[in-house]
Amino acid sequence: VETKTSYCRTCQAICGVLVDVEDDKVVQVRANPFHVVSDGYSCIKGRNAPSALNHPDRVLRHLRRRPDGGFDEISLDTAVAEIAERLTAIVAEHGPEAIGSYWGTYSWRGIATVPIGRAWWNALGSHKTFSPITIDQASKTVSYGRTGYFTGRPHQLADSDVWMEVGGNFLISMQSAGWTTTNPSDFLREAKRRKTTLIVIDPRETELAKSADLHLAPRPGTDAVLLAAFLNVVFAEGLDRPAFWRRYATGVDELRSYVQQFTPAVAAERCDVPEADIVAAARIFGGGKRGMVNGHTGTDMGPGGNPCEQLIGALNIVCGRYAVEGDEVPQQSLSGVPRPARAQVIPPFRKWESGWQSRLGYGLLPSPHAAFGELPATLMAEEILQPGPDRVRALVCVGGNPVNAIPDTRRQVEALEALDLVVALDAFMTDTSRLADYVIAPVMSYERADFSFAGGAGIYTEQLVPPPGDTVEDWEFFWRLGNAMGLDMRLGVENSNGVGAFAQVPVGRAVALRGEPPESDAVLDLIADDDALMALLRQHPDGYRPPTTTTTVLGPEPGADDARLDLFPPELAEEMTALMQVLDASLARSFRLIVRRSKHTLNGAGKNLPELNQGRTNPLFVHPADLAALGLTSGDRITITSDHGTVHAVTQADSTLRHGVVAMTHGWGGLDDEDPFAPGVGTNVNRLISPRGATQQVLRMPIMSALPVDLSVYAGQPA
Amino acid sequence: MTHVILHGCCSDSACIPACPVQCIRPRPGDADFATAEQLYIDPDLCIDCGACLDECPVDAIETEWDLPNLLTDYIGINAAYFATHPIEKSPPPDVTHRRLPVGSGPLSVAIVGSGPAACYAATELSDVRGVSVTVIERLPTPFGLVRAGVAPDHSHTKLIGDRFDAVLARPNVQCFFNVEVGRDVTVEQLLEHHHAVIWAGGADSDRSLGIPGEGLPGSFAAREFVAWYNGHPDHADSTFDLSCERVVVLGNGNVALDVARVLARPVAQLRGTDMADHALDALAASSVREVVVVGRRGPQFAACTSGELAALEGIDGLDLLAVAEDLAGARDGGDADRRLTVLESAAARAADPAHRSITFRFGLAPVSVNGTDRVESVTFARPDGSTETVEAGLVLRAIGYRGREVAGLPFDNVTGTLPHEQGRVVDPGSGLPVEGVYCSGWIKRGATGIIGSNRVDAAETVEALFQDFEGGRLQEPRADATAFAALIATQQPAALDKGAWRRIDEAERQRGKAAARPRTKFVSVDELLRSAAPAI
Repeated sequence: VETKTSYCRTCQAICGVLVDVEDDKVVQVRANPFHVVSDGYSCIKGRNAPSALNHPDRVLRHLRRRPDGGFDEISLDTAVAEIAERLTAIVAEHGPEAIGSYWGTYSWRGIATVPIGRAWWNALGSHKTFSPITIDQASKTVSYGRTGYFTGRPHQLADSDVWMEVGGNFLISMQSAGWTTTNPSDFLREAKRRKTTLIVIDPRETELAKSADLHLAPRPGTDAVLLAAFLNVVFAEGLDRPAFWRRYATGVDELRSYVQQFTPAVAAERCDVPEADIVAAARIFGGGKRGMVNGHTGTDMGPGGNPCEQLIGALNIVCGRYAVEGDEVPQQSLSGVPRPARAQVIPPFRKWESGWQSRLGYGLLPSPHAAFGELPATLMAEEILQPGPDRVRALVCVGGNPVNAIPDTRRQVEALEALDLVVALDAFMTDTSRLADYVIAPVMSYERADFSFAGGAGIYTEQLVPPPGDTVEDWEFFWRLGNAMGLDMRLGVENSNGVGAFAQVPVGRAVALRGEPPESDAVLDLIADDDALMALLRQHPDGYRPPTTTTTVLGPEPGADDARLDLFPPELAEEMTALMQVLDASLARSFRLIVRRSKHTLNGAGKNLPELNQGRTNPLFVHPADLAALGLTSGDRITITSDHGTVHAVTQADSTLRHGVVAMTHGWGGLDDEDPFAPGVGTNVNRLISPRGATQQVLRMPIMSALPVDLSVYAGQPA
Repeated sequence: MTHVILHGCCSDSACIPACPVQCIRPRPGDADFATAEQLYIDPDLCIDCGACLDECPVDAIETEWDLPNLLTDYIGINAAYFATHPIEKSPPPDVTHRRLPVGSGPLSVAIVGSGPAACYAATELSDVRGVSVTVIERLPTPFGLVRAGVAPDHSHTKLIGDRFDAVLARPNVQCFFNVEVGRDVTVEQLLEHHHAVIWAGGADSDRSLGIPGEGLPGSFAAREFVAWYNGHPDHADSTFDLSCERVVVLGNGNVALDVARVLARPVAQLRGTDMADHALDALAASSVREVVVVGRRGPQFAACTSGELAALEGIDGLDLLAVAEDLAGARDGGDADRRLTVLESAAARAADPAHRSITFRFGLAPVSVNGTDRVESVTFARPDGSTETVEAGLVLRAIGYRGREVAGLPFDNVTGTLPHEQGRVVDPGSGLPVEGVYCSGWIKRGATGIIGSNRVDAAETVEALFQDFEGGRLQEPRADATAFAALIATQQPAALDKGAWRRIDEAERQRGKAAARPRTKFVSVDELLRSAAPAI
């Protein structure tokens, strides 16, 4: 057994790990206590990497579908040649818009995948790009697009005296702006030692809520009303920071008068939260000197995602929670050449309203996957199925499972079956892979050299074990495919990703990707486009964190002084009215189904690992009193009905929920004919959800949380 | 924002090397490791990564926020340990994987017994490439007291059997069950086929009180009662007369608590366990109303752990009682522990006539067990010389297990153990090690500690064995594993292998499934052998 230093590729956190290798197999993964960011942290998903790498069901050979539905193993050369030929033929006949691409969570796990995949995609020239980003927290993108974006450093939890998290549970998700990406308990404990006051808004008493100083548990879907009431109190009690918003924002007077109707009393009624708690939360947050409010999947996947993010952004701006000109801020630069810190407004950009428009009436959103931008994921099936000259006829799926991830599973299956060509890059036979014409077997985590950035640090890992079977790195597949199609692929092309978390995708060195693919390490150097930094990363197996210096925030660049943040875009009032209608209509059903992340899976990944899940799938969490009222107990079977479908699940009592609220993790379950009670299958929440009902503007995102449902005793075979 | 260790902790300390911030104490080697009731997590250092939870063989670790209400005390109990034992964050020890010396051939070791000490030794040995292990067990089933000692209502503790099962399943471990060393094969024959033998046969006899009436019918060692309700084949035919109303248990360690609890808790609560059917039937017909657990000294010297004592409070239909006078003065030392708090509330509790009860008594030294044909009462002496007689129809002596002499090996009759140095069996006459013979577990250190204590114990023995192998102090065996299997086949044709155990295990689990039990045990050797036969 040999122990090697590396970093985990399960999520974006890049926790440092020590990996035991025996006979060219990864046998154990544990935390690297000396890693500069994770500091000894690891999670159960990361530690279970060996069970995924060595899984008996892993796809190790490239596959081609036979007419009888089975698959033949084929070589990479054959796969690339045939796929290139078929794509080229479709483009020749119907144009590039007839090709679609879908970029799943795992397209992000290798640093080279998105830049080189994007070079192929940009060269191909289609706008039909899709990803699950638009069914997650894309209301943030909409809010930035309508309001604009402030470049002054947002306050961080580490230097704040107050903080508010809405609909997010950092201790499980480890995702929140201003927080670390790893080691969550230690980070939160430090904040509590500094006496930071934490306010958590969540209909469940989450792990984070249990650690909060104040927890408000509103009815699911009503967060926007609560946020409007916070603004109401902030304005009424003069807790806003005019010195900030007068210089950088417009629409504040309109916003102030709009939120007057959302008094704490009105919100208390709508949200079922004590009025005093609403006032207290607003006073604590507004009265604090530093600290942000953040929205998450709980807000953004609900019926009021857009207005929630709009109001969250407004609260932060009205309360001036950013560094401004003249402030001293810490600065770290991996490249050694710090960019000047500026406090200026990137004005509203509303990308989806200009430029290319889909024939179905939707514009493009900023995207890390394509230079043009990307379309809402829920439009993918319609782009395939609705007639039209540029209808999508071929789809390439990278590290994702759109059949399971996108709401309305039946529609997704119908769409994939209508395609002339489906190519899936996936290590396992997912619902999508099973419908594919070609399945490309990818290299996984410790089988490739890689580098990544997170938490102000960078880390490089060598390849620890040889790739098994015929597996290929994702980037190499696209390199070969683009060359086989004769495309002019280039790195170094700026993206449309604009702002936020996706701005970190490397652009790469401006080179053409021609000829035989180089060695992995040479490709990593192209992606990083910073040889000095790569040398540093290779010298620091525990991660490299550049020294922190202090810099003075500069004012706007010349000519940018007049830009203003728009705090009252016209859609806000429209969307609030629509939300009230959705909430009223929701009363027709007795329960609200909310989203819930699990410690054991990341989106769809991990559910096929028995070592990790130990027989668990995704139960329906129900308050014990609600369960008793149905005459059921934990472990019983139950039927869930929404306006769009019916599914069956196993119950689990959970007293941390509000009465009338049930919760379930997405990513599980199969197709119509699959038994949710069979080992390892679970319940497909997306069969209850459809964009045929209410959707968010711009995103076409249906109600995925706070979904109105009814529960009934399962009529089939009991457990 | 912390994980919490609960009272089921086996102290096996598998969690400790896994902890990246080293916030679990005490560690093997710490002064209080052997005496601490359980391990604890420092809530100021724990980072909630859950690495310890993955390693815990008995599911005794939980996150603070997932604790059921009944167990929230343990947040404070864990924190309290570090108030008196403050620690600093430190990196974990380097995990070094042992290798056999370059150029050396393979190492083969026979282990006698298959209980915790044997299985921990097999784990340590079979972790190393080039080592092969032969496990020899007298019964048709493995795991010793995990199967036949741990109380059936301690299902979490029994989970450690799954870890041991995985070790026995390793390709470099071969097993011979239903083979008794001394009857079917000799120690010399083991040494002819292996470099070394580790005796880990446990302690299957009892300490005695040495008082009149101890041998009367109706007076038993608690060990026999435990073996009976757990379906040990040697005790399946025993009968315990439960037609009396009161049972006296002498001694107040965790074994005493086990037998008292099994006798007093509503039998319905035991029906979902793997308790032997004959015991369930007998307990269902039991007339016992009260179990009196008697300790010779004051409550501050009670031998049970506070976790086990406190857990009795949470059992529905069972009243935990004590006598206030027995507790008088126990707080005078100032050092009152959690056990005294539990006992004080027991003394203040009014018995519910609908419930059965366990009454804790202290400061009563047994003087005689009385009766004409069978047990009728026990007489005790108080420290002041006065006596008290308690009527009882059944007396269970829970004052400790004792090792039995092994033919051909030196033995210490005082302690009931094999004389040894770091696990090397030593001839007390010459002071020299008996070449190739080692020991581990209760036969090595006496009948103390809990399951997990055997891990450190076995590690010490295996370390000595490796050192001797590396130092060339072990003879190359004259014959190999194939020859050994042939020898066993000749000398004990009814020997069982791993596959046979797999079939017994599966059959027991299948039988249990219908009744929603983890398993329904076979309790006689004949039944076990029949269910071990491959399906035709």
